Amino acid sequence: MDIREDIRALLLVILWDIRKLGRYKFFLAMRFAWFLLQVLVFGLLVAKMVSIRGPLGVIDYYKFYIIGAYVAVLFSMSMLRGHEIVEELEDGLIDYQLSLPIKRRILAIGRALGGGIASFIYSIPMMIVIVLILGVNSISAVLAIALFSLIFASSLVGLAMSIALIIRSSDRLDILMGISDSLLVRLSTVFYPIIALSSIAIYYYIAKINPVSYLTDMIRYIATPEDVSGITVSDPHIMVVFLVGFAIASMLSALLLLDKRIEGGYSR
Amino acid sequence: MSNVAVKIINLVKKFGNVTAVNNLNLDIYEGEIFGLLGPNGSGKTTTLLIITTVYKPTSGDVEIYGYSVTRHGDIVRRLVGIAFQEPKALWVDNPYELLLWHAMVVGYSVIGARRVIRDIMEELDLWEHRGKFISELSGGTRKKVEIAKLFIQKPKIAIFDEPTAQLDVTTKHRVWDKIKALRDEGSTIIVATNDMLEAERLADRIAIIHKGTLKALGTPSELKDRIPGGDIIELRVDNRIPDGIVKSLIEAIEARKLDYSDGVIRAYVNRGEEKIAIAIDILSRNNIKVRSVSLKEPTLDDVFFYFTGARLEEGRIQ
Repeated sequence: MDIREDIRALLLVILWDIRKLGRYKFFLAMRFAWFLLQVLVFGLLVAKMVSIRGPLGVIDYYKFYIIGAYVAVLFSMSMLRGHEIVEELEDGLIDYQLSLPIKRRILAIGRALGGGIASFIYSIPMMIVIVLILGVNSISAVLAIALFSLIFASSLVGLAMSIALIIRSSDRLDILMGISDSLLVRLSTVFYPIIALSSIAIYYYIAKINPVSYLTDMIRYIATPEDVSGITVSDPHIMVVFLVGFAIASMLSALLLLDKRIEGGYSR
Repeated sequence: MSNVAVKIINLVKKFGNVTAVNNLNLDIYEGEIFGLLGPNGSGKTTTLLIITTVYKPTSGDVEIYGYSVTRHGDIVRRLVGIAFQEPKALWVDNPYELLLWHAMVVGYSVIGARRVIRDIMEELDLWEHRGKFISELSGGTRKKVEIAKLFIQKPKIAIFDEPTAQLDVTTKHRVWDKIKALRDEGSTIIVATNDMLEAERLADRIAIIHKGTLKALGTPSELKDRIPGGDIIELRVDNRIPDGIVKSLIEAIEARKLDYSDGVIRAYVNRGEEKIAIAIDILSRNNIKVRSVSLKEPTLDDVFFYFTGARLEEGRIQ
């Protein structure tokens, strides 16, 4: 089998998730409306009440907040793919995919990328809103935000897939996803800068290793570099390495579990 | 039909304490339609899922043209295709897009896929349903979408798991004809079924599986012939038959049992089609006029009962 066949198979597996996009119009419209409400009403109100001082002066909390709101939406949309994977397991669709002439690693990577791309596409309207509000006028900056969002979404889908393949129950997964959504988003720098967390050690150290912190602060660094200087979770180079490393680790775990799943069988 | 296409070797599959497949050995020959007959829960589907590399065996192996399902999964998946017992589709799918995706995964170009999908969908009366959500389709229509995947794919080994369950009689016959046509085009077919008529109409050879174990293997007529006295020859005669002739008749046709009353002889034999001529010859030579002859063969349900001690319905494993 040559590389062209592998790429073709990969694109078709990615297409499996993307072709569902148009079927969730109402859900996406509701999500977008909720996001607008959060950014244009709640965000403005919160920003008037919060004042945080960084090394270079007072932080514009509104700008800080709306990037966090965008990442929170991207996070929850990506983790939702785990729920879809469990549904596919329960409906036997994973059995169907495992029987097709596709290499296991292509299937695992393709599903993670496909889910990541689908989640990213869902979040594009929200990304456009924050780019417009923040006044990001550099094409390269917008593309960098998109790229890191896509990498992060694919990583999360790989992670959600791994969790789904271990849990294998939609009820238990719902509970776990709810908890992880609450904890991972809140124990991060999504809504609070890392310097504000330093007084609570456990909170601070979890945020320091939480991938959600790294994407949020990476986007802040790209979109509003002057506002977040000295308050990001880490140095920009380390943030890049962390995000890429997280992507590779989550893909590998999905690949290993997909293979283990057929090893162990799935009793219905 | 001499090349072995699928070789199942000492296959065992356990789920926890439950043994779904227990030391199964089978050779399936290239170009044949092979029936796996057994009730739900007998291990048929598990065996098929191992052949398609979805499950890995607990022990033993399956070879597809010499390629092991455990060691050469990528190659095996290029040779084997399956239409599942339960249709596999997302509720938000529509049949056309699902089949288009499937066709492209199995190697068609977009243009080639569109052409073959239209042909198959029209043949199976699916074309008018092409844009509907899967969730809006009846069970039978969903089943046809599932079967259509294999008619599009045309794999070397085509596996149908209960292909006509939920289909009406007319469609059943059309699907059987298409399965035979697929074999004629070069595919080896494996059909898992608990439908006796389907097994009898389609299969060149049948394996009877019960509780994960192979109970019998052979052509439908071979399996029927293995039931002692399974064929019943019924002869209506004009004259009374002397006891001596009855005795020689029993010996000549090797009847396991023979009833004679009111001018009707009922003989329980094997290979009844061969014994009829012998019986008529003996009666004619003794000036006994035969008015009518009939032969009743056992059904595959009788065969299943003989080898497993259970009727197919009773044999369902909870």
